[in-house]
Amino acid sequence: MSKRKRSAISRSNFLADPSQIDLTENQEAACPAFRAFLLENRTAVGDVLLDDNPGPWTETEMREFEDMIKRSDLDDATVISFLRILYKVSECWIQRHSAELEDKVELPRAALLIPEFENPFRMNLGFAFRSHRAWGEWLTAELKKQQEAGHDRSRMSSIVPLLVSAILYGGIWNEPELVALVRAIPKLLSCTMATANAIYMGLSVSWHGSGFAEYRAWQPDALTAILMMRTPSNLAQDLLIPDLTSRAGHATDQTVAKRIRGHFENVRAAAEGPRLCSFDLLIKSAACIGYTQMPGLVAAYAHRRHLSQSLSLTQMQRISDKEWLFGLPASEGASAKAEPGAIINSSELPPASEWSSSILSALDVEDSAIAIDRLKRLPSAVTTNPLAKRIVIYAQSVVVLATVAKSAKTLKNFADGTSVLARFLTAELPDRDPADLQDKELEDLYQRMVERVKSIPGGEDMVRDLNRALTRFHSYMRNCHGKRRLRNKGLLAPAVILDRVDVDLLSRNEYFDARRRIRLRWPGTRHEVRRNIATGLVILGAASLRREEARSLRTGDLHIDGWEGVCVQPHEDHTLKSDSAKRKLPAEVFPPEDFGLLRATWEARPELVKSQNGWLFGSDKFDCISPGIFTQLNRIISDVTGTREDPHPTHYHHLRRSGARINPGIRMSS
Amino acid sequence: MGQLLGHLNGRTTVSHYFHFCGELLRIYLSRSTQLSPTAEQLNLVVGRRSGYGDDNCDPQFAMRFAVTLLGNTAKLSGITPSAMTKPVNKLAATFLTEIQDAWDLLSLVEWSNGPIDKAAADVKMDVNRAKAVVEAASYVSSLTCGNGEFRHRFVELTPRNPDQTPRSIIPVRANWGSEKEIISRFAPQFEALRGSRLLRKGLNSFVEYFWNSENCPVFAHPIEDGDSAQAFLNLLYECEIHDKEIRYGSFDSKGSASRTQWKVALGLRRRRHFESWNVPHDDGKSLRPWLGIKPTFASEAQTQSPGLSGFRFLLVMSFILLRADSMITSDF
Repeated sequence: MSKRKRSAISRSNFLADPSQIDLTENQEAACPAFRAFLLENRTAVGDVLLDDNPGPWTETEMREFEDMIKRSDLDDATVISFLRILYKVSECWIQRHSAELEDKVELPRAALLIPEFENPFRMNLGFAFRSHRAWGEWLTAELKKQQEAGHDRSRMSSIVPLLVSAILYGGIWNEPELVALVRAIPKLLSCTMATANAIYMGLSVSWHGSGFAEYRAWQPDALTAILMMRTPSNLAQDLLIPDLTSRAGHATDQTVAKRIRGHFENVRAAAEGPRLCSFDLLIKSAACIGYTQMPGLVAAYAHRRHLSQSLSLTQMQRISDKEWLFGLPASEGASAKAEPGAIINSSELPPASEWSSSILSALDVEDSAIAIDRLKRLPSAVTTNPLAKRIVIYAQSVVVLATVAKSAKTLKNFADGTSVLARFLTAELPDRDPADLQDKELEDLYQRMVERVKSIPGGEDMVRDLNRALTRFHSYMRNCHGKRRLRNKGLLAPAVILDRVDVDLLSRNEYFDARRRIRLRWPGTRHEVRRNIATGLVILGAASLRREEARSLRTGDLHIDGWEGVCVQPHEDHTLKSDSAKRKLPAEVFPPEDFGLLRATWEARPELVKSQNGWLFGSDKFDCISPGIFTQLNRIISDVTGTREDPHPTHYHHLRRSGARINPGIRMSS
Repeated sequence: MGQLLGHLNGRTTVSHYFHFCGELLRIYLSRSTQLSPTAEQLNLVVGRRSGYGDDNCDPQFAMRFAVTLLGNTAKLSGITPSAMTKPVNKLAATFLTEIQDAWDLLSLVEWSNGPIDKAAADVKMDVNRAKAVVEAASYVSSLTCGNGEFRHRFVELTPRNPDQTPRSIIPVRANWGSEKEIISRFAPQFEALRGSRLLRKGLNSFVEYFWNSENCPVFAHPIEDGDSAQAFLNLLYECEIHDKEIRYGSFDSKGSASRTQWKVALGLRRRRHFESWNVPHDDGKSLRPWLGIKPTFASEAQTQSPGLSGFRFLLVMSFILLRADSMITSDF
C-alpha cells in the first residue's frame, strides 16, 4: 500500500492473545519471545503489530524488518521460527483489518530451512544383511519347489515371492509403493510397457490417504518381472477385496498393507531354515542396505523419504529414442494416474449457486483493488444469505494479502478455490454461517466436504483446490472467529503435496524443432529482432533460466570478454525469486553454437540501441520485449510436443527441466 | 543441477525438476551384488536347472525373457503394440524437414535477388542448393495465368527498395496447426516417389495449371491438356486419394461434348458426376471446355475442403525442391 491511510485503521491489542491467531502449538509457545523481540527492536512493522502504530506497513518496511531479523544474532532455527510467526501474525492482522484496507498489504517472504535427512543406519547393519539374505534364501527355496512341481511351474501359487523379490531386488522399500504394485497387477497390461531390455510399470503411489498420488515409473529387476508375469492376477485381487467391516466400501491402503503383513506372517510361521524377520523389518533392512549401495538421494527415493514424480509412460515414449515393444492401451492416462480403489461413491460436483457466481465474477479481475471494490458493491440479494455473506467477508480478508493480490494469475487461482469452497459449503451447509458452528461441527463439516470431493472420479485437481481453500478458510476462521486448531491433523493435506508438479520436459529434438518453428513464426528479415529474441529466450530457458530471469537480463549480464557466461542477478526494477536464484552460468553450460548465437545477437545490435537501454532483449522500437512473447513461445512449444490440446500443455518453464537433456554442459556439471 | 537452476534446496530440484529417480535407482540396483538376484534364482525362474555350467542365466537374458513373457501375455490378451507411432513420426519427418528448411530459407531471402549466402548459412544449407531452391521458387512465383494473374499464392511483402521485384518468393504457408495432419500424411509418400517420373509430371501439371481462384489446377482442353490432367490424376491415385475423394468441376454445360471428351481422356466412368463451375470474371453464362480437378479430405463435400491448403503448400514446396534437385543435376 503506497498511500497509507493510517488514521482510518482501528487499533487492537493484537499479540496479547496468541491463541486467537492461526499459529501452530510451537509457534504459539514462541510467540511471547517474538513479542519481546519486537519490543526490543522497534520497527515500523513491529509497531503496527504491537499496536503502537495504526498501520498498515509498506513493502519497504516489511523488507527492512525481514532483513533485521535475518541479520540479528539469533540462531538459524529462531530466525526461521520468527519469520514464520511474522508471516502468520501479519496475515492475521491484515484479515482482521481487511474491512478498512483498500489495497493489498505486503507479507514477509517465506522462510525455509534446508531439511536434513534422517540417519538411515538406525539399525544393526549386520542384522539387516542377515535378514535380507534369509529372505533371499527363502525365495530361492520357493523357486526350487515351484520347479519341482513341474507341470504348472509357470504359475505361482502365492503372491509373497513376488512381493519379497520386489523388496529384495526391485527397490521397493516402502509400504505404499508395495500396495500400489499389488493394485497394478490385475491391470498389468494397461500400465506396463517395455523396450528390449527393460520393463516400465506405472505405479500410482498414494500419500497417506490424502487423495493425492505420486506417479512412479518403476523398473523391476528381471526376477521380479518374471515373477510378476507368473503370478495370477486373482492372487492380487484377493488382497483388494473390499473390507465389509469398513465404511469405506473398498480396500484402503491400510487394509491391503495389513493383508500383506498377514501373508508374510503366515510364511514366517511355516518357514524352515534360517529365521525370517517380519515384513516391517525386511523393508527396513532392504532400505538400510540400499543406503550403503547408492547415493543417499536415490536410496531416499526408494525409501520414499521424498516425492519425485516420474514422467508418464506416454511422455517417456514421446521424448525417448528407444524402440518400445509394447505400448499402452488408450486408457493408460486414466488407469495409471487415478488412485485405484479410492473412488467408490461417484458423485458430481455440487452445482454453483447464484450468489457464488456473483462472488466469482467479482473476483474475476486483474487488479485486487477492483476486486475489493466489487466485493463491497455486491448486491444485497447476495449478502442476505448468511453463508454468502461469510464468503464475501472471507474473500475480502484474503484478497488484500499481497501473496494473493500480486498478479492476475494468483487472483484467478484464489477465485477458483473460492468457487470450489462455495460449491461444497452450499451443498453441505446451505443457509448457515460457518462462523456460527461449534468447533467440532466445523471440523465435521470439513470432513464431509473432503470425503465428498475425494469421491469425484478423476477429481484430483479439485481435491487440491478444496484442500487449499479450506486451509485458507480455516486460517481465517481461526484469526477472525476464534476457532480452534483442527483436531484431525491429517484432515487437510500438507502444503508440500498441494503443489501440483507439472511433470514434463522437452527432448533435444523437440528443443531444436521449437527453434525451427520460431523461424517459421517470425519469418523474414523484418521480424529478425523478434526472432532473435525468441531464440535467445529459448536458449536461456534450456540453460535453466526462469522466464523473467531470461527476459529481464541486461547487456552487462552477458559476459563475452574474459569469463564467458551469463549472470543472473537482481536489478533495481527486477527482483529474483529468492536469494539462491542469484547465480552465474558459465558458457560451458550452453552448447557452443548456442552461446555463440547469444553473443552474435548482442554484437549485431547497433551502438545506438545498446546505449539507449540496458536490456539484452530490447531494440530501438521497445525497451524490453513484452512478456506476451511467452504466449507465442508456449504455443510453439506445445505444438512441438503435441500437447496443445492437453489439460496441461508443455510450456516454456519445462525447458528448465530439459536442460540436462539438451545441454551437454549441464549433464557434465551435474 | 540445483545450483544451476537457482534452488536453495536440492529437494526442490529432485521433487519438482528431476523425473528420473526411477532410472537412477535401477542403475544403482543393477550395480549392487547385494541387491540383485543371484544367478541361481534367475536360472530357476527361467526354468533352467541349477548349476547349468557356463550357461548361467545373466540378468540381461532374464530380462529379455521377462519381456517375451510380457509380449506373450499382451498377445494373448489381444493387445497390439501401440508404441510404434513414434519412430514412424520421426522417419516421416525427413521430407518434411527438407520442406521446412527450404521454406525457412525462402523466408529469409524474401526476394529473388535477396541475400542467399547469409540465409543459407543460417539454415545450414549448401549455397548451391540454396541458390537452386531460390531460383525454383522464383520460377513458381512468377508463373501467370492467361489473364495475367499470378498462378500461385506467395507472401505479399512491401519492397524495401524500388529496385526490388514486387513479388516475394515465399509461398503462403498453410496454417501449421490444422493443415499439419495432411502435410504429415502425404510427405512420406512424396518422399517414396522421389525421383519418379510420375511425381515429376504430376507436380509439373499441378504447378503449371494451378488456378488461385479455384485453389486447384484447371485444364483448358481435353485433347491438348489431357495428358497433363491424367498425370495429375495419377499422382493423386498414387497418393491413395481415391476417385470418390476427387471433385471434378466442368465449366461447360451438362451433357456437353467436352465433358464426354474429358471422361474418355481420363478414363472415367460415363456417369461420373461433374460439378458445374462458373467461368470467373463473367456473367455466369459463358461456357468453356475447362476441367478443374480438386481432391477433398473430408467426408462431406465442402466448397473448401479442410486440408486443401496444406496439400497445395506441400505440392508447391515439393515442386520447388524437386526442381532444385534437377537444376543441380540438370535434368529437369
